[in-house]
Amino acid sequence: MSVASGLLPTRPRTGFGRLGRAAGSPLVRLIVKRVLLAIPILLGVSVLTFWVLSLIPGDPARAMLGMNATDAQVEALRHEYHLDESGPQRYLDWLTGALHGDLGTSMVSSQTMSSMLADRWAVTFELVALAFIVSLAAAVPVALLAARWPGGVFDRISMLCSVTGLAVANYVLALLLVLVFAVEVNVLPAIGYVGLGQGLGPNLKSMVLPTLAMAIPLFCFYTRFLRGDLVDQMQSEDYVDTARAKGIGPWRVLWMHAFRNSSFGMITIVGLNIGTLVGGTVIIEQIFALPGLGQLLLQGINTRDTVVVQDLVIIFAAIAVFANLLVDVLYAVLDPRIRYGSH
Amino acid sequence: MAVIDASSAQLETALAATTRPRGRWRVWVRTWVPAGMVVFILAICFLGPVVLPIAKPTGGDVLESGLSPFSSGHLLGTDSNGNDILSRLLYGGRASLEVGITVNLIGLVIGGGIGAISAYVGGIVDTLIMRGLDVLIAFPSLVLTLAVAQSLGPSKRNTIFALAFFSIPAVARIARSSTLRLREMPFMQAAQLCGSPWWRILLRHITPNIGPQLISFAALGMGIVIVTEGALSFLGLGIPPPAPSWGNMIFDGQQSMSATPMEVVWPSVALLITVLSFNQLGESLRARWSGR
Amino acid sequence: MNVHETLDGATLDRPDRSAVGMPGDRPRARRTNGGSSAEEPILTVSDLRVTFSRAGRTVYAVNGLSYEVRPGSMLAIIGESGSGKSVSTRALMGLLPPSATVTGSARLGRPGDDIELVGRSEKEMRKLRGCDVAMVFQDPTRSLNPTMKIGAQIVEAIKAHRDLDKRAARERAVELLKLVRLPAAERRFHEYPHQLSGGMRQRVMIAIALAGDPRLLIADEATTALDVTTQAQIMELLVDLQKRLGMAVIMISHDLGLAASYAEEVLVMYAGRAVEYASTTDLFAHMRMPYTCALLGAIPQLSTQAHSQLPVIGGQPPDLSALPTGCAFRPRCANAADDCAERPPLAEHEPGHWFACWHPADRRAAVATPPADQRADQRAAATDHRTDGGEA
Repeated sequence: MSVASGLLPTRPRTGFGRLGRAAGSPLVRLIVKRVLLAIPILLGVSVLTFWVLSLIPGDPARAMLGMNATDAQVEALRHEYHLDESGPQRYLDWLTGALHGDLGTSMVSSQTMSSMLADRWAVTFELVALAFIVSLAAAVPVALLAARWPGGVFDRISMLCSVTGLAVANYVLALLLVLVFAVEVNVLPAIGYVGLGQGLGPNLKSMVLPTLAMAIPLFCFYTRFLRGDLVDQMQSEDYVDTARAKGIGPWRVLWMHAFRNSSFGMITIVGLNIGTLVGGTVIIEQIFALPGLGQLLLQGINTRDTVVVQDLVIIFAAIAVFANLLVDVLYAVLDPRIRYGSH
Repeated sequence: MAVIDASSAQLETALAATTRPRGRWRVWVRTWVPAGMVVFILAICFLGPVVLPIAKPTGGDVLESGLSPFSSGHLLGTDSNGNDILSRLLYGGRASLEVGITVNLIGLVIGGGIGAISAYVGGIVDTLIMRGLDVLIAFPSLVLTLAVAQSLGPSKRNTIFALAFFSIPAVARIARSSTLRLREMPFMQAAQLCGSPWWRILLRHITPNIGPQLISFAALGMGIVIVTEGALSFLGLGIPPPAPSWGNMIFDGQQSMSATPMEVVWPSVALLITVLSFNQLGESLRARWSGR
Repeated sequence: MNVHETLDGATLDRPDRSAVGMPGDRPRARRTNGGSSAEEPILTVSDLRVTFSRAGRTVYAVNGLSYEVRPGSMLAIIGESGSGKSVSTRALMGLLPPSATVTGSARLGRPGDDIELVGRSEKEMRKLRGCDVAMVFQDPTRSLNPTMKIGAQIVEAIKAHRDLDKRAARERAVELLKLVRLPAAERRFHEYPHQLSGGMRQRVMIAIALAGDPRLLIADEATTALDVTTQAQIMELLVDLQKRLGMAVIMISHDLGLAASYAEEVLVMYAGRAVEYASTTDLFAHMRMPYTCALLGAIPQLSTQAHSQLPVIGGQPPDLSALPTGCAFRPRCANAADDCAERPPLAEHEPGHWFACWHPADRRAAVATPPADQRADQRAAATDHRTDGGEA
């Protein structure tokens, strides 16, 4: 039988050559494919947003100017914001502008969108980034401890907490945190934002409660997911058996083998969460009076500022699309099976 | 050798089961306690106001505002508008559950239908539908519902529309992936070879197979929808006051939170228990139906 | 080795505790190839029992198993899935889930210098695993960590038992890769499992198993997931390593033919018990246990008429949570009679040939093993073609 194997033709291995790797590498192909997929999604997102917002009954110009405005005034405003044009035409105008970096001007404050975004993006970014950092930094050790002794005391307590935490709405949690830390104990500011310009300490202090309100449900979710995945792997994956058969310690098996493989699933989950989390800033920024993008969106909705609403809805969706894109790429870069191609 | 391999590997199944040291009673508890809670919540919200002697949720007397719990006729007291809190809690729950159930039914029927048909038909239709769903899924759910709710104006019906908007693509995706898996099964090919029409295959073969998975997902979806409905109402874009909903009760209570925290606590606790029950029911159904 | 406490080594001649009340001596198949017959066993398993309990139900997976393995020899444990073959060896490694209860004894090492493997704490077992007993698993695709370079996985196994610096561990790992005849070992060191073929992955698994110089290597269906050609190459490698390193090898398989070609001794298991135990030559010269015959019958053979129906073992494997009294194979056995309601003990009915049956068959195996010298030729031929290049 061994003789036969020597005579079999060897299948050429393509895609593994060190030189040919960059150009035709599966990684580059994958990134290009994902980017190409993202473009129609972004277009679809903007078209859908335009369409949904065009369903608003009544005339935004009339609503803004009030009942006393003359028809001429209304007409002038309609013309200024191109509201007298057809829907598709307005969309094309917007798209042309957006591609040139011009997202239009707020109908209420007369500020350009770009200047408002520039003022506010950092707040939302800081909030989301802090929420991710805090939740992941807490979830990984808790999940590891829980998975080390499944069914143990720590496991049970952490699972009970995360099941409960998952059922708590973030606005309820936010109010609870305010009630406890700002009203009862009064150690942290309840609302308001202190910019980074006034020092990192005060800035972080003003972000503690909003961050916790966003991070706690996320922490529960990650703990639950990671713990479940780790336990599954420890019980059913063959490479965990191999690792144990080597005689290495249980923590090393958990960390080097189970967690290493779970981390890929975690990346996907985190990527999917970015969109939801950014959307969640709307309510958290409202409760804590943080001057971020979410608050701007809500103000736009309440003042019927169509330009602001439509731009921000598209921006939020675009963030989610880009986050998923980024995760796909990151996943490909980190996972050797994709990086080096697979059978 | 195939004969040996194909023999029912009883020990393997026994081993797989023993790795999860769970007693039968625990499985029972995990399924039936949340199920009982859900039934209880449904019963008390829909039948409670009819059966129990409870004041109306709206049009309270300002003179009776801020009554403490256990005052006469008001078990949980009254809010700052003089409305009975218990009554508002039950009617608010009714509104939340109505929205949740309707949205999930819409999601199941339309989303499930789209997903199953998309996977069954395949080809360019499938690709187009999936790209369309990708667009819907790209929106953070709250942002999309905010935009839709603002366009349509706050009302219960519009809240349902807005929430269904993001419920449909999620269900559709699950239905699609399950149907894709089913399509490869021999019995499906047998049905096709027998000449069954496509709608019959969808109804008789695909629906019963993907149904359990979709229903357990819908139970989990109930929690999400109820929380999001609360968020919309909290932001004033959901169920318009004075009609009660847990979301706008929490918002109303928030105004005077330091003085009367219980006005926030009651709807929050109701929300927590309801979402927890649906989540746990969904989890246990999923565990049961995925054969774990 | 400082962890090996020498436990009471003088208990070897204690009476057997198995329920069947068989003679005091433990089964020991007669050695056919002389020379090493005087050698003491390196592994002595006696009355090994494994049960799993879950939700008030008890699954009796292994029910009083006894055997011996000598250094430099290969024992094949054969049986259907669920016969307890895999569980019984995992018990030796301490790799069973917490729901398992293991009793009995398994002594590793020569008498006087031996260690008990059963009943040790997880911490003690960890020091033995990889170092004294190592294991190669069934599916090399799943048993290597897909996210780690193979070099790192071998180094990890080396460092588990030896305090080597990075460089020395690395060198040792490459050495091991060369030992298992992985082509281009230095380059493969930096590759991930998915870049290797199935056969190469199994070679890496063997290298990992050899990292701690084990005295006993357990190959749990190590070639089942491989194609026939690769299967032969891996088996040859195992046999060669076993001879060169003086290891004892337990090979677990459901393939009686494979055992015939490579193992010195064969132990057939059914429902958690040994039902036939003999040297390979004796066993294939005349099989006595109807179950063994049935196992062999289920293998297609060249002499079988084309398009004829393959014989199958009728019926179902026994329910391990409710084993019948008497012979467990009785419901599926053609020779079964009334007296099979009493369980036949495993006894040495012929010198070196143990079986548990009241109504033994006498069958000369059609696929009798090639004579020993011919086998040696075959091996020599195989070692000339060491490359795995053909598989992809």
